[in-house]
Amino acid sequence: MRTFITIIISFLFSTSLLFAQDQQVIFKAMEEEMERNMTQLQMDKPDTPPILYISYTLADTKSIQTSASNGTIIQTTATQVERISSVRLIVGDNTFSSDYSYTGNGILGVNFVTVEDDPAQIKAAFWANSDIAYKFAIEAYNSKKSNIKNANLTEQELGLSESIPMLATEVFAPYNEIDISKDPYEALAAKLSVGFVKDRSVLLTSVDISGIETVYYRITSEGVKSKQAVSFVEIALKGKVRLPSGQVVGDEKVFIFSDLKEVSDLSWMMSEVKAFSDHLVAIKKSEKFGEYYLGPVLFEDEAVVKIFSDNLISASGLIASRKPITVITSVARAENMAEITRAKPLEERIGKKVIDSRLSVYNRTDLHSFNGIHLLGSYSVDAQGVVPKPNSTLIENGILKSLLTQNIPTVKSNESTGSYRFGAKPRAVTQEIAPGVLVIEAPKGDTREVLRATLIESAKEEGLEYGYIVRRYGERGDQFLYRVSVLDGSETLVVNCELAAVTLAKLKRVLGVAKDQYIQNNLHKNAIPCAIICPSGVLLEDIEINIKRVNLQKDSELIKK
Amino acid sequence: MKQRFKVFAAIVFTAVAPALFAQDKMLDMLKEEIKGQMEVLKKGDYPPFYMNYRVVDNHTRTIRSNMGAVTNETETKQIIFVPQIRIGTPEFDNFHDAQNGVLISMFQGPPMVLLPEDLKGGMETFREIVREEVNSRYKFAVTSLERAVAKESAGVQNEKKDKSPDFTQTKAEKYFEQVLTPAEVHFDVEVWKEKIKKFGAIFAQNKDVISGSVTVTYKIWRKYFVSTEGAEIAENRTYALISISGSTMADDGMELPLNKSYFAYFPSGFPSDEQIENDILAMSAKLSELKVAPLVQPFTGPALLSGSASGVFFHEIFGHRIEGQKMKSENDGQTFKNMVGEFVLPREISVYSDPTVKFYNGNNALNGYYIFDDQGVRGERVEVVKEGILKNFLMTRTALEGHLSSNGHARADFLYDPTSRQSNLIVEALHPKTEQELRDLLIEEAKKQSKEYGYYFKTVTGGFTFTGRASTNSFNVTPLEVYRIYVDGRADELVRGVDLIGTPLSMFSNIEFAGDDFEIFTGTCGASSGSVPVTCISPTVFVNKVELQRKPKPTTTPALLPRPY
Repeated sequence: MRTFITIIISFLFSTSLLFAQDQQVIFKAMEEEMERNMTQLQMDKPDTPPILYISYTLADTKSIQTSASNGTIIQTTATQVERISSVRLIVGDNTFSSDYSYTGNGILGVNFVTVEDDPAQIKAAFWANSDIAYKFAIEAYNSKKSNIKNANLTEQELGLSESIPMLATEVFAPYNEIDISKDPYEALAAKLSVGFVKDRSVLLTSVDISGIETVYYRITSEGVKSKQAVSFVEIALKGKVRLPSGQVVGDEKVFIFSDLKEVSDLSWMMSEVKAFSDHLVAIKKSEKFGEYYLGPVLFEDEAVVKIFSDNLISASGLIASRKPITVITSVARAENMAEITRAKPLEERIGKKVIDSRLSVYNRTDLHSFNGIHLLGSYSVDAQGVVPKPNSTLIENGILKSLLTQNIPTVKSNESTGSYRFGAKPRAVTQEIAPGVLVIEAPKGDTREVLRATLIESAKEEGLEYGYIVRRYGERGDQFLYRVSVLDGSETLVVNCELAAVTLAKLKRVLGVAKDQYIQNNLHKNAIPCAIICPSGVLLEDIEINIKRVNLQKDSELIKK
Repeated sequence: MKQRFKVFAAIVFTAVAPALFAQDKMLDMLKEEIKGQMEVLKKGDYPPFYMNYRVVDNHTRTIRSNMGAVTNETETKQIIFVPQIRIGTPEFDNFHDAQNGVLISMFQGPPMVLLPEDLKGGMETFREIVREEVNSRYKFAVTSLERAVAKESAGVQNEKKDKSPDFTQTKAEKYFEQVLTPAEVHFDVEVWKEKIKKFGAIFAQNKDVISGSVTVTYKIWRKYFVSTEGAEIAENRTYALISISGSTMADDGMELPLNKSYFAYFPSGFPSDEQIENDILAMSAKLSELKVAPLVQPFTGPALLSGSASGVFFHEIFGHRIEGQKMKSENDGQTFKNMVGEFVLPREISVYSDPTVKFYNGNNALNGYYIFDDQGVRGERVEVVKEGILKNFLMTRTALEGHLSSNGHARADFLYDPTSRQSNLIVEALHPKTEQELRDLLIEEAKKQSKEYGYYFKTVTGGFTFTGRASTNSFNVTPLEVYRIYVDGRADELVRGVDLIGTPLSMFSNIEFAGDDFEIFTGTCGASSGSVPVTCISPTVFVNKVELQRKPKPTTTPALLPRPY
């Protein structure tokens, strides 16, 4: 896994001279309109709560997607800069406000904003959107007032202030503009796509490359003014295999880079294509997963990344969240809070054991590379203008120490860790609490060989004929597991299986963990670049694997030919 | 009423060269593949009796602006492949109970299968994609056929059930148009950016306008069709469209839009800038009037529907009920299925659907024009209603009792399998009335019904209708510009806040007269085979009773602060 130099070179606290002339036009328009709204936007009704806070965000996103197969371009779509606006407007005061979701999200403008830096049109976009956000905030305020009684909040939760005030800051994070011209993307996709092995059973192989960049302009009524960019390039290797039974299975492997130029080591990427292609060919000889399994499973490499990212980078993991209050509004749709509502926050377990005591977890924001691999997760300042700590201990020897937070206080946190991060996604302002580089260490762990031996031993102890190894699994494509014989340790690739969800509880006591580490750049919510450095293997007990039922239909003569 | 033209266009369209067969790699490869695949598939358990391949090479460019500033610019280039495999027999095949030859996802629609542009270097990829998609659809065909057979054998015998064949014979057409020249493909993005900025800036001058968008789109489709019957077609379609939409907001929060569009086959066919600017100025002024127009109450009584309004009205409530293929389904409302030869409209009215009309009444380009439909059948003029009597339906190769051949109205969006759809729906009057005569008739009828006024629907934005049996067979047309015409001679009054609703048969019986004018409504019709370009042309129509219902209550209110510029 390769990746590249972080885009944020530095950040500076300084005067507006930091902002180039064209940005001055944008910021001036935003500031003038915010000033007008802060001072004049008022509903002519008694007891209307005053405006507490406004933030304006402009997001300029450009992107490209290309797909190639066997050296030929199938389709390329390049989208020039599209600009959207978002307004977050809160009424009330810091003891009770209209903030009901505590996510930090605002209301997106309905239409695109001009990309021409026309001050009148930029103002008009924020004018229209502020009006909706204001009316929405008043509705949310009143609705929250009546619903909070039924929200089952503790006294402590009810006593929390609504937000942590931010210091006035000007932030300009220089960035390297991403190139979205077609030629280099198409050339690379075409070159890589010829690297698949020619095999009649391997079909519809492709190399899909996409690049995206979002530049954010943000001002807040607290005096935060920032320009930051998020960009990345994703390369997906895809392919399908027709098994002797006629069943077609597919797989996909994804690589994240900071910029296309960073994929300069073509031979390395070609070797990845070759490895993926060999994997597809190997699938041809795979066996069907025959019977339900409950027993030890060894997760390796990418599969370990998935387990830790699913469980730790979530509102039920290391992301602090505040219980939202349901509101009913008509001016605009209230945020969908299903995910946060469902979450089981870890916060109340601070000081308690949450994962195996051999494991410690740190959030690094200053780590640009590790073992010669460039990391995407390092950053200097977050979306709220907060400078993150370079290294925070989140879990120490299995004991939960702290969580990643933003400027919303929770019962055990009254400080932002500077973890509220921008992402890049077309036609969206993506911002979430996310880590930079999540480092999961097990210095007292075992070697991979020991883990493998332990897998076999554990399976034997349970009277099983096999143990299983999972090296990569996910939402995209089918699942492929490796069945390991307890008799001779031989591996067989199996298909038609479904791994049951691996929850955090499974990590509390693990059968084994590797001391050497695996590194992967990732996209949190498919938008926020981060990296995970984790043990290259973790052996878990009582993992359930089910048979995936497949409705197999006879192929036509075209395939039999 | 004076003649009104919804669309102005001075068209220069390069003459096509039918039967001129030049080198076209795509056509050659499609022919070769379908021939080879048919031979192989014939050896299987379910040999197809027919196959076709449809390919659309789509190149679309769009620029959008709002209030005189460019907001968005896109370019799409893709080559989409949709094969159709028919197994069973022409009398009863795999499409007996299914419109599509592939599983349709509720949220994503049919799958999009793309072919490479570089056919020389990508021949292997081309063949693989075609083979796998045909295989996939073949398997779906087997499932569909087995399901249809099972349903048929398990079902209660229905003597009245339509027993006409699922797939009828037609001529295998051979037709070739040269690829468009670079000059025809050219679309000067920078020039058009400046133009739409200039147009949209007119809205910005009016403080009452809250949104004023101008969008220009240039679509170039090269459509290929080959079949195992020997059809070989390569046809170009071009669509250039300027869409203008302005909106204001009344004090009660009701958003009030007005729309206008200009259709031509090439961007060079648009009206002059001056004319478009004048139209936008007029629209902007009308928005200011609309902002303060009174809100009206539900109403029943007489009305005049302008050409564009009645065009949409006919498209929705009549046109969707003369689409033949869907009437074969027992789930369809089959409003007219057994009414051929009977009066369905007043004797005054004739309706035909004619995809072969490229320009109407001079140089008005029509969006619903095509040479071949999506089953490779040459589009024909269909006399649907002659002087009030129902004559025919819009047919595909799926027959309906009494309608055993296609008349070239099988249409589909890129990804769907075709079904009966409208093309250019044209309504004409036998004894057209002048504007004044229609106005007099309206006033006379209003008096007769003891009404203070009748209504005049000048512009509408579209509408929808339900044609199935499971729901109420109703329609809704959304007016934008509506006037009260008073019986006491007061000036016409612009009003707002109503939708035109009703049920089809009762509405048809209320149509009495039509005018000597016409308007062209250029639109995109969305239905079970996706979105297809259509035109409705109609004169002003006098209806002795319409029903109006209130629009939904607005959820917003006007902005508290004035516009910042």
